[in-house]
Amino acid sequence: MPSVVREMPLFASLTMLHVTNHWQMRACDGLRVVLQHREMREIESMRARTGPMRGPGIADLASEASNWAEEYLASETHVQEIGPGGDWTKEFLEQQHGLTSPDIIPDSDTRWAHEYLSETLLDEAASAEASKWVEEYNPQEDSELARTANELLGTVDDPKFSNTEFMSFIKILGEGAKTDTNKDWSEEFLTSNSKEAGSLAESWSAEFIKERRQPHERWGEEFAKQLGSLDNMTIDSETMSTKEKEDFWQNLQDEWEKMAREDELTEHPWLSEFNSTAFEPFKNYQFEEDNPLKDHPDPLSEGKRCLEAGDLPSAVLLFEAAAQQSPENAEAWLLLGVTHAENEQDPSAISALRRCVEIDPNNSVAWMALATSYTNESYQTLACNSLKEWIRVNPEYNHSLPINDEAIHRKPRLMATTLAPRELIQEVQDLYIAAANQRPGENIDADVQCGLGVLFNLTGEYEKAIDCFNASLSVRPKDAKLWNKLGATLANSERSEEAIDAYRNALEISPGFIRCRYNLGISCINLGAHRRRGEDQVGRNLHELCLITSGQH
Amino acid sequence: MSDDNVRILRTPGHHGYGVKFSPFNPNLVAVATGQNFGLLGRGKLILSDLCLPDDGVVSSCEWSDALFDLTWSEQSPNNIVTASGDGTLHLWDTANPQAPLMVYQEHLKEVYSVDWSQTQDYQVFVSASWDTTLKLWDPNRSRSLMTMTGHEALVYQAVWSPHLSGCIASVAGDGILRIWNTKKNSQPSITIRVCEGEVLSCDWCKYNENVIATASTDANIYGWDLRQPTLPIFILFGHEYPVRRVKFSPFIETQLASASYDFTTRVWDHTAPSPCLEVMKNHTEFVYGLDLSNHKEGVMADCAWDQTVAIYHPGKPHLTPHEALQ
Repeated sequence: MPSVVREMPLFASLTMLHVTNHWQMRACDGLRVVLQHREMREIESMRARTGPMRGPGIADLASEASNWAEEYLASETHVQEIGPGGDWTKEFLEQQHGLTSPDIIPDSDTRWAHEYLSETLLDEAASAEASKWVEEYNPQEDSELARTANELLGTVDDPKFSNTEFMSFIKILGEGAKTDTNKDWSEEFLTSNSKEAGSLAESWSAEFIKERRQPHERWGEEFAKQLGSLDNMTIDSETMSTKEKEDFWQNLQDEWEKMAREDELTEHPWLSEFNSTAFEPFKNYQFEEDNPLKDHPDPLSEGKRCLEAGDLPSAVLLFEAAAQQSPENAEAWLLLGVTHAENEQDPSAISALRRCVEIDPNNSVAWMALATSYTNESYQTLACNSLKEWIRVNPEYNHSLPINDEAIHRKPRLMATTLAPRELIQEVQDLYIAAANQRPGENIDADVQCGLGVLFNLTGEYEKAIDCFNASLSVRPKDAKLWNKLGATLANSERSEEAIDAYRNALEISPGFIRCRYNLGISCINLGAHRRRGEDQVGRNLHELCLITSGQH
Repeated sequence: MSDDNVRILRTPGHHGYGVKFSPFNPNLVAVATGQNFGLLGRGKLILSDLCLPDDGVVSSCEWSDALFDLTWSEQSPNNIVTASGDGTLHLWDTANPQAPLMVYQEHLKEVYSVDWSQTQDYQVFVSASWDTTLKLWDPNRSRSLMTMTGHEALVYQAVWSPHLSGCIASVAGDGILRIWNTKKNSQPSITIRVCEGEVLSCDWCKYNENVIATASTDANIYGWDLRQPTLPIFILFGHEYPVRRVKFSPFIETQLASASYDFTTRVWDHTAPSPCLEVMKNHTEFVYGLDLSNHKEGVMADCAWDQTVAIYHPGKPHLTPHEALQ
């Protein structure tokens, strides 16, 4: 049942605000509530009514005879967080118990339903009363209802709406008089008391100012204040421009919402995360504020040394120093981006790599790295375009691209999507397959294969991606990043055991490869979650993981 | 658009709030209605068979308050659950329409939406109410299994995912889309702010488990990929007034339909350069309900406050009950 007293001011305020046509429906919903209240007041005096059944506590349900429900209620899963972003569905599934479907219990509730049924017969009598109410409705008696109905009427100036049956219904509530429409249903709403057809739409505003002085409603005062300040402006739809109207009501709406929110107990600060939508993601690189290595004399060489040695955090700081000291140095930005990626920081990697290709658009290494990072972050279109650029700047293959390709100039908003149009994916796939076929037999271009592998990861064709990375590795077996990519593809296609082997290969080559270690951890956990048997294997892997980790420090 | 390919069913004296095709029988369609625009009076669930002439009414079930939504059971072809303005839900047997089989009474305010689980392993339904909660029900039990709180305003719609068992999406007047994992707990798993206004409807893509569309009072339809929920993946402009319902096509991955207070129903393809494919003006009042047939590709139904239900197949020249729907 709608709650009783609290709804009235809510409804009234809503109606005030919902004058722009956008909010018409909410006003109607509010109207509905008022009508219900009136009905309830009358009906309650008519007969006794059993109160609504409240839902029982969880504990009560546990005693019912249904094994499915028991299991369901008793289940409390605490599954470790699996990983950032990426496969939310996998996370989702892993959080669930396997539950058996509910048995159809013999219906012990039929008796209850019969009892309820006898109540509904009473309901019918009540409803008959309700329909009669409409016929006998007297707007003079129920002035609040009439007033709010009129207010709604006064706000509607779009002829499309004013000619609707619904608006006629509202008119009747406001005037109580027979309307001039020739529709059949209006006969139902005839009242025996005809009302004078007052100048309703024009006088509502004056009436409103007079009546809205209820001290316990803050918003009402605020509203009246606002209205008072606009005394000189006639609230007449013909003279006010649409923009003025919208501004006027928008201000009111904002006021109201502000006041409504003042009472809220909890703000949800994390929601603002979603509010700050930048349509151009990763626009500006954010430097580390307190960089102890900022003034290093030769950060670039030192950084490369750290990278070799596997000290990724220091490398990052050094490359940042290099980029701050010489902002136009594409190599510094490239190394910064690549290091961030290895350090499992794709968003930072993307910012840095974008800077790099801004300075040096022909940097194919940067484009490939960008494509990988975009793929990890599920920005499919951006990944495809990066792969396309890789081809473009590669003299061996770029003959297959048309000169005036418009892809890069597409609006940023469209680019930042997670679903690339099928044509784009197909186009880039064709480019890469053509490039791969250009080199005969054994003379494989590892980068092309790598790009193709990334593409197939985008589309979820993991088997093909695995073939590509294997091909790539046959030419460059000592490339830890390729091993990691292979491992990730295997893991994504549920071949966690083989993934772990691939990761171990990568870590042997490059022990400081944090991203790879991270992936290894995830795969081990996945193995543990999916396998009940074979715990030896899981145990062994976890043990190795600990060894590897401990061996480093 | 010619009148030939639109079939109109009348629901005299009652204003339609929701319409759904039967998942079992391609020719059956049910409409949830209320008297007096759902503001006051009784409600009626009307079952129509499109093989019958005129309004084709097979049976109708009445309730003392307006019915705002309905859902067909995925277990039994004759069962329908309706949601009502007095906070109750009902299970009906269309062969015995005099009284409901079950009444589920727990919500404190109007129940605006109800949906039956779309995954066969889990025969439950969810209800969404203006009391800001969603409730999970086993049809055989009169008490709810779970209450999901988290929304801060009226919940307008709750929809099961057709891919992931136990996964629900819901939208509310606080402008927020929430995803729930009912098999884990009653807290929302993902929360996305859609827009500044209210979100009136949402639907899952039938072919891509990550994609959801939402319809809001700013007259736009936003598409979201749950892997990267900070930005919408598409925005469909075109409606002039709030969009009341959105539904993905069961046949074409990138197609969806929407119904709006601008009296039109539109069909979109969000990957097309000009996404709005069709604009249908079959009504003279707010369009409230919308459904796409699972059996016949392209066949749609919508119901509106002009007391009619329109069944049609956009783009197809001729639609007769026997040709198109059998």
